[in-house]
Amino acid sequence: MSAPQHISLWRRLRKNRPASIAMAFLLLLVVVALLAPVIANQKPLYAVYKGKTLYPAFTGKVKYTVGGEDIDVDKADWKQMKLDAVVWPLIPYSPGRGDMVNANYMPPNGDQKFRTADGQLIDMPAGFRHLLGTGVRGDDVLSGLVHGARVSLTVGILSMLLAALLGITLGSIAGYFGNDAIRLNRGGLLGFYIALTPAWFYAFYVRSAVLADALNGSALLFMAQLLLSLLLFYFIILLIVKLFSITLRRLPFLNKTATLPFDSWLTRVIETVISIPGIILIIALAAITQKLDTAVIIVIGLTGWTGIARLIRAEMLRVRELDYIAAAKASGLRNVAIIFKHALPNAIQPALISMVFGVASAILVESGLSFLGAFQIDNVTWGSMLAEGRTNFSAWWLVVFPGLMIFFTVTSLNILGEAMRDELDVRNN
Amino acid sequence: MIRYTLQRLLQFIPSFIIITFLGFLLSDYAPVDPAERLTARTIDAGKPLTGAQRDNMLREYRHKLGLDLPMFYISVKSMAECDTLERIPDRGERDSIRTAIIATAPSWQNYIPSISFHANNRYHQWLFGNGTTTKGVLRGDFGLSYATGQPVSTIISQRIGYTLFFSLGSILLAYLISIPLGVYAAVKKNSWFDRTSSVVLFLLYSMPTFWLATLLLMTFANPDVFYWFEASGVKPAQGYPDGANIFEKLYISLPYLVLPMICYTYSSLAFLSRTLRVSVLEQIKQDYITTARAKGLPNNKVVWKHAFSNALLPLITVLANVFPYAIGGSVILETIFTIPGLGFETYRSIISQDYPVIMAMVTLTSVLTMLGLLVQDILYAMADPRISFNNSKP
Repeated sequence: MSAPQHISLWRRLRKNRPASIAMAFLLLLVVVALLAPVIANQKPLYAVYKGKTLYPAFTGKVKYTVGGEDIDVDKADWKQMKLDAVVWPLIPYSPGRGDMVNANYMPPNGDQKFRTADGQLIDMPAGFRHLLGTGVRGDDVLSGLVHGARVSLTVGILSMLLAALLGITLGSIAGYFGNDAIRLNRGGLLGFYIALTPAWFYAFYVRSAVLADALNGSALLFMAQLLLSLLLFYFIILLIVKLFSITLRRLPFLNKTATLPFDSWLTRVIETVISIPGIILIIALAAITQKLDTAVIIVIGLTGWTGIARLIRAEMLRVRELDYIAAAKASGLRNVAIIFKHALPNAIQPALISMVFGVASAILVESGLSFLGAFQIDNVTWGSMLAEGRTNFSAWWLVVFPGLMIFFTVTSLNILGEAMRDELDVRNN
Repeated sequence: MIRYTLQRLLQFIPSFIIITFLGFLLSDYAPVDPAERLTARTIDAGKPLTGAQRDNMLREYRHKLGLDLPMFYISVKSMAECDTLERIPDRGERDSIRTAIIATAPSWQNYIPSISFHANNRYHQWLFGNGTTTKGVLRGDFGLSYATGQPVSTIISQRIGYTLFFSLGSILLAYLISIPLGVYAAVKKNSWFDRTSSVVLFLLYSMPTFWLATLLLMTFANPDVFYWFEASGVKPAQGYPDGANIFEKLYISLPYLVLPMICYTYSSLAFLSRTLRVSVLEQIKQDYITTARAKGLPNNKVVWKHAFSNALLPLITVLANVFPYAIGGSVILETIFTIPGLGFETYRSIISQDYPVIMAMVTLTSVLTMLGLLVQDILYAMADPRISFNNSKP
């Protein structure tokens, strides 16, 4: 093992044929998701209108004023305007926006029409074809797939980020310290139990309005506020514990050493969290906030960390016995530095596998529930397109293509996860 | 083992309280106030009410549902807030009074926690009943559904059959197919059969359930393509003929059952076959198999008696997961196929904010999950004596 482990894993995955195909597909998907507004947009990338040069797809502006005429960038029908010069995106349609002349489920190979700026109805020019057909209002399927990738990947990645953050932190603390390495005096222990209530009060109750606002905003915002709350919780506890242990250590009974059995606590917490019915919670939260993707991210993020925590804990138990950790301790490094800088890089790989599978299952849950279609969804998602296909089976393209996207994405993630598992097993044997 | 089981059962209690408390929190944040909803239903039923009558009725419903009580035994609030707000019947009034109290109190009071204890609270009533009309969850009374007014326990007993039928039936089918499949693939490793089945099973494993269900419906329950099966429900609209026995009923329902059963089965089937193959392969490599072969045991016996019986753990995992996933896992499928089971009921109750039903489902699922985990650990220890109860690690 001359090279660092994560580099050698990466090299081995590159040599694994199915894994490298899967990774290429996922990379492509990430690029498509990032560039979605440029790839599929009903606004031109570049347009010259009445002698004025515009970049509608890139502008943050809501309105243009050209020659005394107000143009609402989002609402304007750019295809009906007499543009002097224009560069369209690869797919000149936005998701979920109707196309009157091709409404009512236009098949991919159907007789598609195009209304020119002069108002004439002509056969569809090649660049404007709905390549994968349209939905009931004439909304372009391909464009929906491109933008749906955004939703799916966001849900998958954000939920697993949250889960990884919780799982890695809790798992490594439990594994590294075990039940008897977090020592403090009894006064401090007393302080710990007393601290729980005010910590909860200041971190969550006082901030509940902020948290609720963030929940109505976006998942990312909520995650940031939640992290802030968790940090606050931690520091309040730390503060009160220190205060108690310093002031009470003179008392004869309270200066005895006590330990925080963090490992057993984590085991109990994991058992509880595993028993939380995630899917019911997701639907209920989505019904309250009317935001399915946020609900999936938060619930999976807050309940899906148990697997990661267990794996990290088990690896940490192994790593902490290694000589170099003892050396690091002997050289006086702080525990935090040892855990995150030295122990974790050697303990994280099994958790990475679990995260890859976790992304896949989060994507499945989101698309499955948006497929049921009980929530108002602002964005077009793969699941919501499939749901539209379910109401009209003759529009097979609405069933096949979004389904294939979900299937390919999940399969790629599964292939990647299994390949990682195989490669790591080789190392262990 | 009995001591271990008892210990685990005792450990369930805090988990149970935390999870059901979560459910309570959810119902507290629900956009629709249940008492207002029940009152509105009475008004819709044709009884015009004056303001005072409406208030009275609200108060009555709130009392009946225990909504005029604090939520839990302990509540932590800020000093500025008052903890008897629940007694005000009208939600809008309640919210405005709360805002007013917070606004008029000195602002430092908002940052001082105050803890209060309530012996009589909603959670207590939910668990033990209110002594008059309800008996409490611990005695099997989950309250009345807001939507239909039926007892929730009746709803559950009416619907659990369908869910159990599909989850147990699918597990049986998955065992029946996957055991020979997985073992055969392991024995004939790298054969044509092994490679094809591996690829097919992997693809099946990654197949989204709801997509497969839609594709099957589109192809085999579609009057334009093949109309072999029915798209929704579990039995003909006119019901079964009188005096039909269970097999005749099953036969009549067959067109309704085939597609959902496929969708319920394939993923555990794929999981089982794949893991069985791997674990049998692992066993075949071991020395004791070589010994068994060396002493002249027939190949069949070596594989089934030795290798297979030592590769049982994945079978147990799937079995232990049947009950926990029976409700949550069937939400999507039961909704697609309109099967009137617990999953569909869960979905319906959440969408229509029928909180007594939601709470029942949350409780049922979490209890079943905890029991499933316990059963799994016990079965593991029985199947593999190396796993002991004392130093069992998660």
